[in-house]
Amino acid sequence: MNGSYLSEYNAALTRRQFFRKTATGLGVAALSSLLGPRAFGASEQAEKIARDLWQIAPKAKRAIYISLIGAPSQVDLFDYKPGLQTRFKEDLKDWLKQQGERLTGMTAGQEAFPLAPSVFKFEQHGKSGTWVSELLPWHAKMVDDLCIVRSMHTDAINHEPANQLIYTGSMITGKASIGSWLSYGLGSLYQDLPTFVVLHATHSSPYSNVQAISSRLWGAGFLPGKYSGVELRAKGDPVLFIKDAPGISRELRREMLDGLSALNQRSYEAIGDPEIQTRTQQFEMAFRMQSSVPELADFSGESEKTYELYGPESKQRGTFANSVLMARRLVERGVRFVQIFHRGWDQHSDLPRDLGSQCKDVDQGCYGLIQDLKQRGMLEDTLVVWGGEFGRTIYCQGKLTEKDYGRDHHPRCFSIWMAGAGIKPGFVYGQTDEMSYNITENPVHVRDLHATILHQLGINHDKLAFNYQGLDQRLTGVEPARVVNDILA
Amino acid sequence: MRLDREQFAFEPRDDGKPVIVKGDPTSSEVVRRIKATDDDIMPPASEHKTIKPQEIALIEKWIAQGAKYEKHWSLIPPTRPELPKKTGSWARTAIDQLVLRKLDENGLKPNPEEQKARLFRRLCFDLTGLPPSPSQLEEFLNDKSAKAYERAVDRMLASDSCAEQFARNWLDAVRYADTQGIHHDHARSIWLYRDWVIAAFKANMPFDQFTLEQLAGDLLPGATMDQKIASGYNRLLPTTGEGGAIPEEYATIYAKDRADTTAAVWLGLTTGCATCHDHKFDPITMRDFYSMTAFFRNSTVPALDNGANANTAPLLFVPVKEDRSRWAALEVALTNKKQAIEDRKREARPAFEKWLGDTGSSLTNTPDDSNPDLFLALTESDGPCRGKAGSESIEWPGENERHTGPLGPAPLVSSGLAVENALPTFARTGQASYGALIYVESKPNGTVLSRMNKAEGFRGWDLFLSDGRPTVHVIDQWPDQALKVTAKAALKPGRWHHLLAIFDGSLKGADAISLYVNGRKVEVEVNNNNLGSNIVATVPLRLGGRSDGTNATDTLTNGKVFLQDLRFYNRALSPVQIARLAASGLVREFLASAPDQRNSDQTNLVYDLYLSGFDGPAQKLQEELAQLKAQESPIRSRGATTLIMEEKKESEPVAHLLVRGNYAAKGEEVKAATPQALPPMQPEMPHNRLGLAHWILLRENPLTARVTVNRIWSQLFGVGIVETTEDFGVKGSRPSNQDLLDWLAVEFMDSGWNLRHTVKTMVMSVTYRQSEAVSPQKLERDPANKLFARAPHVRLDAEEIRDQALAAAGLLNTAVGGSPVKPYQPEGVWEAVAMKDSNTRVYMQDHGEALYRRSLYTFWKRTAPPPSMEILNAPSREVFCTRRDRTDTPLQAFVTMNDPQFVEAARQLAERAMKSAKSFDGRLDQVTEWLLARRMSSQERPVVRRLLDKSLAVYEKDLAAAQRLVGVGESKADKAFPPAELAAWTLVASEIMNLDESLTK
Repeated sequence: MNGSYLSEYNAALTRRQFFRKTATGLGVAALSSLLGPRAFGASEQAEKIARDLWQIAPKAKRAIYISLIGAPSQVDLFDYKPGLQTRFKEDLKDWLKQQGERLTGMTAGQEAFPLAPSVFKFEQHGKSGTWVSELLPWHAKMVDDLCIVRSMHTDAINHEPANQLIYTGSMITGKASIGSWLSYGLGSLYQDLPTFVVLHATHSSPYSNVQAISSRLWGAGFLPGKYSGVELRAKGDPVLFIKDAPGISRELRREMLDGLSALNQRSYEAIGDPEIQTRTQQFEMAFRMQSSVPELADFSGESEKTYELYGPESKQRGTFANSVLMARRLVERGVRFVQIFHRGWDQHSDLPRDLGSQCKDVDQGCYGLIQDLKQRGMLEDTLVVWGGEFGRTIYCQGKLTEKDYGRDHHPRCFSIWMAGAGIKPGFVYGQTDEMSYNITENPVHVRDLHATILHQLGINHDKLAFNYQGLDQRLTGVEPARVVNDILA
Repeated sequence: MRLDREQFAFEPRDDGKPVIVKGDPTSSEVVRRIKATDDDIMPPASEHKTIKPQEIALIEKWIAQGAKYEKHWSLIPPTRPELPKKTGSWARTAIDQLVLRKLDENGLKPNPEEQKARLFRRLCFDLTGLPPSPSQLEEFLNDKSAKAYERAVDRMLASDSCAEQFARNWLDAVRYADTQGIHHDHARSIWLYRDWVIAAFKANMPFDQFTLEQLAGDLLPGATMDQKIASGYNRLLPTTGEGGAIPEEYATIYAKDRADTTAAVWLGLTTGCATCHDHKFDPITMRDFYSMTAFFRNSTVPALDNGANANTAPLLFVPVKEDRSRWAALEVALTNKKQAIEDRKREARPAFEKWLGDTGSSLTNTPDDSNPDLFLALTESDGPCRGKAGSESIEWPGENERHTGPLGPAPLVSSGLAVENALPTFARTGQASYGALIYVESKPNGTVLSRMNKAEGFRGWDLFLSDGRPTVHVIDQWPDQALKVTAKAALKPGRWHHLLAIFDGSLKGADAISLYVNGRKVEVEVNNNNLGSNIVATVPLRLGGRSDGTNATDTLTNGKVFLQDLRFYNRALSPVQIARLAASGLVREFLASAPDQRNSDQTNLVYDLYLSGFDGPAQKLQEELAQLKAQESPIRSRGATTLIMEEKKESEPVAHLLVRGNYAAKGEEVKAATPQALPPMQPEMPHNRLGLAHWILLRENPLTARVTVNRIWSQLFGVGIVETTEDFGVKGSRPSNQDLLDWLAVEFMDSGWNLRHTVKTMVMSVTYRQSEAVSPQKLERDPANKLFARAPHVRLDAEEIRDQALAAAGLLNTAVGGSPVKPYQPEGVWEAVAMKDSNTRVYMQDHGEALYRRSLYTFWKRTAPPPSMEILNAPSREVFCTRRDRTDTPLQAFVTMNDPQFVEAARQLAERAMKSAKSFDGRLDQVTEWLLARRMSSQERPVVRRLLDKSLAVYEKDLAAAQRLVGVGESKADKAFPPAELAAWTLVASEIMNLDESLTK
């Protein structure tokens, strides 16, 4: 057996498995897939493709996506409509008919569609004078750090398809999630932690209407399984089964792995399949993660000052404030993409009571995250995105009183914010009509958001593709998507 | 312009010339355009796609040779290829000859035969998903006859575990799971379909039958119970009951999902793209696609599940095997009895009319001899209410408002007034009947009558209304030690009813409570079903509320309730007594009304009361019916329900073309039809699912047999002859050896679609029996082993890895089939993603034997699949999967090292080894024979020895650590072994369990 050749080949395959960065920074996995099995050795071609993909200078090295499941009401948070206060209870039935939008199965049967102006006070904040609802006092403080997009729109009217569209680029199940695309396209910055980490934050209100989510929102879909998001759990082991079985010390684990390695090496010598080496290396990485993950979960090095930024709840494991602090720790260590899911934003009824509690859960944590990143000089190359899957209706679902109302799903406009990494700070983008129903200026489709996120991370959304089922699959799908240049600094 | 279509290529253009001039590349516009350097260049720069010079040369050469268009390879039906005339000594079967020819063409040589033991281990995994036991291995190694291998193959193919292994792969393809998948992700009962698949493989059901029964079992003439179960294939898809979901949208999604899955699994066609446009590369047009979906759009399955659960009709109740003949007979008997009751109903009409005439006096004059233990007439027109508790007279201030009742003015109950001294009582093991005539407005909520004390954890009993639905609570401690049942139907507002609850403490569970409305037992849903022992509250009876210890609570809201003729008996009344009791009030009310005011509902009610209360023959028939139903109920509780498919009879399968796939943008209507590019359906084939199934199985269909043999091949050889097992289209992989594929496909059809024959043919080949060693030359020439010059070296599937551990440990429970089980799972996995009201929000782990079933029986929740399996690349079962991804991640190492299932298995294997021998070598042999099917070499042994010695030294010093390690899992460690030694051997077993050699085949 030609030893030197084999080891070279094996090293190449190992590189493929670990998708270490090349000089250009491109994930080797994406490269090798684009080039086919003969990728290695075809270096000029690799360089060319890398140049194509890498034609954008990346503004962001990493991103944090705060996903508010259930759809926060834009009308009560960012999309201020002062003109509606005098039109309380006006029946919009006929007006809605002219709009021609579908109604969900929940309000389609309503006899009247009374207009429900927000009960919350809005005020202008910051140098930018941005209107923010009283529900988000901490957001108000940092409004000059944020770029609020009020003109998002989507194709879906119910949670399940809408979540799949915004987190995987398609309403159809089985597609790859944003984070898995980034893992695939960018690769890892740090080998002892996963590239894409998912956090589930708890919500405090017992009343909140909680929507189900599933791993399809952070799964790899048609991409190889290793690009899936890894859930870092707040309950039990942070990574499933990461803790050694009771009674097995680190020393004995090391001893066992040394034996395992030696025995695997014999198999490799006998069979010659480089996959054996790869497998051994996975056990080694697992061993390293057993140190890096507990270190990650050990917050004892965080100062009281930091906790103050994020608020008192940041000390309690699993809360939103705690999760964003964890997100900062993760990106600090080189994790590419962190996605935080916070559920309970589906206020079909009792909106004034429940939205308040939801906002309280996330408000200060978001503030803490942005300030913390800024203080550490990381905001300039960390992209933060905040938002839900669609908006909510201006008309009331259920009974409307002076103090109480609910809002149904609304796909035609919703608000999100972005911050950091080359996004214009203190900026508001997009306009909606007087009813916060239609977009009147600068619409941003979900796929435009995706194109923009990829762009900030240095990826041309048109180029990042994976052939599956006869189609070059892209996060942005087949319809044209645009980078929203207007919001780039 | 589409140049993949011949008609466009040679059509004269404006300048009179076609874009491709046969035989003349230089005059062909196409060539000019692809070679252009200016804006004319094709493909345009905006597409970011370029054609390489060698590709351009190829196109020119093709045009020069006459530009012959040919159908895509997979659309031309396979014929049996001629086998090579000259073969050496290596090839023994047709497969080998065809493989060898390909290897020769590529300058490769096949590997020699695998070592016997390693081959046997691989064969065991491929055919049964389990490792060989040391005794099976020994038997095989000792069988020196020429037939030894074939005998082993035959034995395995006939086993239950083989059926389970092939079923498991099939379940991936058809995306079987135990929950609905979307939104609530409620549990779905369809495991009988899974068991049907296992039974089909076990019986070696021919693949054509296997196909017909799944796609259209319900449409087969005289469909059997099993065939209907099989039709559950059409119900396996993810579905939703989300509140706001729009039915038409989901009906469209479901039909597309069914068409996609069927096309991918049977035909290797990807139809998804044709949702929005003509399929660019495959010959599937948008019309073809929607015509395919039409086959699935004529079922009685509603578009949305209801919110409460996922067992949406059409459903089939399936008794266990032993009950099936009895069940069939019982069904006939029940039908007959119901018919007899109907007949009697017709016959008795004249007698009823007469009775009605006589009854005016008889009912009122007949003294009540039923001896209630408590009787409150509730007929006072004003003032206090009076009644009798046994022989004691009681009196209490009633509420003022009255409503005319059958027996006089009836008082409102709403505020929970206590009836002091009224203490009707029954014990947990006793009996009682209680109820009254009741009149409701709207759909009230709250307590009608009770002896229940909130201060004692709601101890006691009541009669209650939940949105107008009669409800009974019998409680020791709420909610964990309580019975609660709620009638499915609400009382009709504005009408008098007779409502009676019966408690019989001798009956099990919720059967202890029955509810009667107007003398008829009504259907209930069981809300709580775990009654404690003490149900006697210390508070007196209250009307319209419960007691909170001192005052009334849980009073009635949302509509007024009036009561009359309230009774409590310390016994369970018979059906006849109940009917008479109901009649005494309701018939009187009926007779008091003017004949022209009576509607048919009221007349029918009174007639029913007459039949059950006063007509001897009808009573006898009802009693017999009750007895039959009593036999039915244990059969029902033993059996299970499964989702099946059912066609609408009055309509034809049609669909609409949808603009860009949008359900709301309906275009032209199309009938169910198969794709134009494939052979047509035969005239005798109906244009429904049954016809589709027959068409899929047409001999001329070029895809089905190829796709099927290719999928089996990929399971055995690690990669398909066509690598994209789900895509035989233009964008899919080309076959690496088409002659081999076609030979197998034709052989498969000629054998009568015999799957077992096909598998056997494959594993009997020398190709299969090659060693897995790979030379640098082979790695260079054929890294993915697409030409099969060696055996695959691939990681076992998730289920195989777990089942191997269980088998080696001696823990494996080999029972076949049954409802899914819930083995160990880390806490919080379901809760993290589930909705509050999902019935799969909380994972309730099983115990005992159920922990150790084969992994294909593990409960599969789509939104949170069993984590250990998901980490090891098991698909989520949300979409079809005909080839699993196999990637290596560190998370997988965590599973096989630390998942309690694997730690427990390692300890059990350690015990097994320690029992088998005293020496280090003897024990190690036991471990490696199970996991590696071999004994270790003298170079390997010291490596293991080192770990054993080190860990033994550690554990002898730290016994507590040893105890902790051997304490993992529900099975108890064998006390016969010193914990330190057992712990050390556990670590050794775990090390070997994690070797590449253990984790691969």
